[in-house]
Order: sequence, then structure tokens, then C-alpha cells
Amino acid sequence: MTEVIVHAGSCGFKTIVVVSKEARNFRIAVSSGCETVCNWGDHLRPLSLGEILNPQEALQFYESALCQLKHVACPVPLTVIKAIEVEAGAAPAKNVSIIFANERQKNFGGGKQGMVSEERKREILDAIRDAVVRFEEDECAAWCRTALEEGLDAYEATMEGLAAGMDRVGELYTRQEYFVPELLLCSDALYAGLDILRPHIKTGGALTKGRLLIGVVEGDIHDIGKNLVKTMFEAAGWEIFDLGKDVRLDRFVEEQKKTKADVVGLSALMTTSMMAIEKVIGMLKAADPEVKVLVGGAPLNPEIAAKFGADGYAEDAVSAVREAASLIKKY
Amino acid sequence: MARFRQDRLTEKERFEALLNREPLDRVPFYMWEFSFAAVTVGYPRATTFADPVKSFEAFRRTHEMYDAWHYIYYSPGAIGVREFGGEAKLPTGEYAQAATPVKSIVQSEEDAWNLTLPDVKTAGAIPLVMEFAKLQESHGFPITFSSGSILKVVQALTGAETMCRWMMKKPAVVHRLCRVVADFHIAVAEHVIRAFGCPERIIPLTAAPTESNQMISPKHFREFSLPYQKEVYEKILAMGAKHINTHICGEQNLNLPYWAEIPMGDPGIVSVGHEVDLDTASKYFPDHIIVGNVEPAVIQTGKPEEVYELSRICIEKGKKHPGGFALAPGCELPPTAPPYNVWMMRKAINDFGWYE
Repeated sequence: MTEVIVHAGSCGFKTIVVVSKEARNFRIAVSSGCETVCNWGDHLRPLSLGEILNPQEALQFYESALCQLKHVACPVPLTVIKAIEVEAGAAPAKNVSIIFANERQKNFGGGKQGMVSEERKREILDAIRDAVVRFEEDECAAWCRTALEEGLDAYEATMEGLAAGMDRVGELYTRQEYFVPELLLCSDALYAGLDILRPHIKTGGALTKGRLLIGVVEGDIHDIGKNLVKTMFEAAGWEIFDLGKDVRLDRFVEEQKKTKADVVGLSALMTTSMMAIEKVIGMLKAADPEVKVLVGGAPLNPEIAAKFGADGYAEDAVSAVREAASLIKKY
Repeated sequence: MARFRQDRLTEKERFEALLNREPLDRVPFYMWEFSFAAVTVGYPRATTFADPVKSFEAFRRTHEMYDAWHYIYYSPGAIGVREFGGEAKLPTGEYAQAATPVKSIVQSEEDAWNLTLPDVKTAGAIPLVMEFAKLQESHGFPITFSSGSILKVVQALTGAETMCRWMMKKPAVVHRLCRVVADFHIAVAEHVIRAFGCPERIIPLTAAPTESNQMISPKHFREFSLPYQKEVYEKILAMGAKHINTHICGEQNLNLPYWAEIPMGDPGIVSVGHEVDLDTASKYFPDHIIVGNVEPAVIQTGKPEEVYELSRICIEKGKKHPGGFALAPGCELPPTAPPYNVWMMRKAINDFGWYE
């Protein structure tokens, strides 16, 4: 099987052509961001090597393509020809570039890590970031795949793309341009991208900004705030241990002993469940006086947090990461 | 024992004067005491939601203890969940306060489009609401029912995250749910009013925490909450009700211009959380009664002097309000609030709350 990726250029669409040998012919599968290309690809019949090497028959193939596709300069039909040649063993699998002369110094592309140009890298990272901000889940995933295909470091794509996007989302939330529904969709885009990039991130403690154990205290099942906090921390490169909601008080202590998280985050929405926070902090500090505890939730405020013995208070998901970072001073 | 100044009016006369726009001797005390009442008389918290007879008794005895009297509400707990066929878990543990849905009833778009109006005579906790209302009637209280806001019930049906996602991606589905919920509120109102035949003595309560700007934008409030809430209120008022009690819960400063478009009665009763300044509330609801807004977390955890001072500030702002004012917590009185802190609110009324 031969798979070829085409970035068509000004239209911005990415197309994947997959050719597989089937008896004497080659079956062609085309998937693209361009609907016209997809429709054209859906109607392609299997071709033989002879058909594409014969100029007269190749001409018929191109005429048919040009009649159906929007743009005469669309590189996808050529890609199909080349993929069949490679799958047939009639040509080596060599990348093809079309580079405009006045952009030559900046736009030298490549497939190996570190060979992608700075401009292309910036383009991809900005696209990832913007896809998060515009809560475009599929687009974010696609750009993250592109980042890997073009040799960007997965960690860099995560931090400079996804996390940068969530930073911008945080600003919009602080300015009351985004609210919880927008944050949720942005987090969906973030996770769509993380699912692509995370398996490729080199593991290692040096890359983790911090470790957070988080949960909604016993008696309270309101977890939307906690989930958004978790998203912001993951975007910022923290490792998260999420205990969920209505968490038994002693479980926080048990899990902190196991995980040795840098910060324990406690959340409550109701005034009554807020009282559990004071109890949990006491239990955590009794087990480990050095543990850092960060609290948040609607009934809390900095004074109550201090009274309860918390080390930090976060008014919302956006400020939570900053507050936690200041507690551990690793930034 | 503390000596309070002699009242000219009984607490009941005072609340009736407030509703009738008549002169008062002093600021009334509205306790907002749901499960606090149950705990005060030694009942489990779940009594508030499960037993209308005991709940009524708990309210009466708590009023006696604090020399209070005001319209009271039976809380169905997670309104909408049981009524539409789901299951709600009542608070049982030491740190539980509210009834919560066990599982979202609406788990898919198909569920939303297939959701139908229940028979409100028999649905969920509505029969318990009616039992409580009969006790109110026989004891000379206004007849009340707690209906929850449009989005509060939608959230109870779908879960908060699903509702938020659908607002962005599938607004038609949310509109569908808002429509069914609005019809539910109207049907409940018709049922209660038809049963008691005196709409002018019925005071519905709408508690609206989901509409808070800590959750949704004013744009989403305008799109999803405003048209349906307005329709429900207009129809309830057209049935003959005179006053609708609206608890604008949490941070809703950006929504206030839209809330102000909704007719709430003559006068309506607007309760605000500590997040909305009473001067701001007065500006948006000049003709309605304002109720509030001592921060519940301070009542729960603060020193008595802090509660007293916050109450003083609220009284001095609220007293000026032309539509009338009652001192209250900014949201439900925490069930385990120190009784002395609650009494500090009543003391502040005695010290600062006189009109005469």
C-alpha cells in the first residue's frame, strides 16, 4: 500500500491518496478536506499501470479529472499517478516539491524532524492554536497530525500550539468573552489534539510542569468547574490525577500518599460541602505538613480559603494554573 | 436576653404590607431557610425534600424561634428530574446539601426530541408540593410552589456539560428542551391555581442558578432563557397571580438588563446573591421588592460580627429601595449555619432596619 499526503497550497486543503494493488490493477482511495476532490475520488475506478504510463490513456484520466475538479492546477490527479507508479515499483517514493523562487530560502520543506522550515513550523503551530481558540475539534486534530507528519516535535506542538491556544482561551474567559460552553468546546479541541500528540511526546519528568491531584469533595457532585480546571492544567503540561466527584475525604489522603502530587486541588460548589474542604485540608496536612493545597468553587473566597488552611485559592479555572505554579515555584 | 425595639406590626402584617406596598415599621427578615429549618428542629436534611408535613412543621418552628414569618417553599429537590421520570438522590451525608439527579434523563438528541410533558397532577414531587400547599392554605400562609428556572430544569434533565455543548453545537435541541420545560412550568402553575382558586394568594418561586454568568454568557441567557422565562411569567400573571418570586442566583450582573424585561408582578420579588450589589439590583428592579443578600459562606464560616456588619450594609442599601426590601441570605441559608450567626441578621434589623 502506498499513502501520499498532498498539501495543495493556496486552497489550504489536505488530501490523502492511498493506492493498493488488486490483482493487475490498483485501487485508489482519496480522502480530502475538499468536497469536490472527495467526490471525484469516490468515482475513481481501479487503474492499471499500463493505463497511466500510456500517454493517450493518461490524457483521458486527466481530462476526466479536470472536468470534475474545481482547479486546473489541483495536484491531486498527479498524486494518484505517482502513487500508482510507486505502488507498482515503477518509480521510487520520492517527495515532490513545488517551491516559488522568491520563497525558496524560507520554504524548503522536508519530512524529517528538524527539516521543516521555521515559517512552516510557525504556520502549523498557529493553526493548532487557532483551532483550539475557535473550538474546531476536527481541524485541531488534523493540524496535529500534520505537525507529526512534517516532523515537528510533539511536545513543542503541544506547548506552542495546544497550550498556547488554551492560554488565549483563558484570556477570553477572563475578559468575559468566553464562558463555560465555549471553554468546554475549546477543551474538546484541545483533547482531540492531545490524543494525536501525546503518544509521541518523549516521556520524562523534566517535561512535566507539575503533578496535580484533584477532586470534588464529598457531598458535592458539581464537577464542571473541576473538569475545566483539569483541562487548563493538562494544557499547561501538568500530570493530573483526577479523583472525580463526591470524593470521600480520606480518599484524598490515600491518593496523595500514592501519587505524591505537587498540589492537591479541592473543589466545592455548595456551602455545606465547602465545610468538607476544611476537614480534608486538616487531614492532608496531618499526613504531610508540606503538602500544598489549592481550593476553589463558588462559595469560597480568599479569606475562607485562608481560614481553612489552604495554601492557595483560585477564583476560576484560568487562574488556577498560575496559582498552583506559584505554590510550587517551578516555572 | 437581648431587648429588641417594640414592633408596630407582626411579622405577618409586615410581609403583607410589603406585598401591598404599604408603609412598614422596619425591614422584614426573610430567612431562605429550607434544610436549615429541618436541621434546626432535629430532622434529617432530606426531610426538606421528602416529607411536606415535617417540612412545614420545621419551617413554622424555626420561624417561631427567630420571630420570623414569611412565605415558605417546599423544595421538590432537583426539580424536573423526578417529574420527567428520572431519579433524584436526596442529601444524606454530612456534607450534602442539595438533591441531585442520579442519571441524566436526556442522554441523546433523540431523547430530547422525544421528551413529552408529564401529567403534572401525578408527576414526581408535584403531589408533595400540593400537600404542602394545603398546609400553607390552612395556616394562612401564601400558597407557593418552587418551579426552578428554564435552564435549571434543562440542566437537570441533560447534565450541565451536555447542556453547554448543545447550546453551542445543537441550539435547536436546547430550544426544544426549553419549550418542554416552559410548558411544564405553565402546566404546574395552572394545576396549583386551579386547585386553590385564589391566584392572587399564590407566589411561585423561580430559582435560577444555571443562568449565572459563572456558567453561561448573557448572549445565551438572551437566547435560551429570556424568551421562555418571560412567556412563563406572562402566563402565570395572566392566570391571576400577583407576585412572582425570582431568585437570581450567583453572578448575574450581565443578565440583569434581560431579567428586567420580564414582568414579575405588582410587585414582583427579586432575590439576589451577594455577587449583585443591592444598589445595582435597585436600579434594574425599581418597582419590585428586593430581597438579599448577606453572603451565605460568611453566615456559615464568619464571626458573628462579620455577619452583623454585612447585614448592616445590606440593610442600609436595601432600605432606600423604593420597591421595598427584606433582609435575607444571598442564597439558601446553609443547613449547618451557626444559629447565632443567623440571629445576628435579626439583630442587625433591630439596630438598623427601622423606617419609623
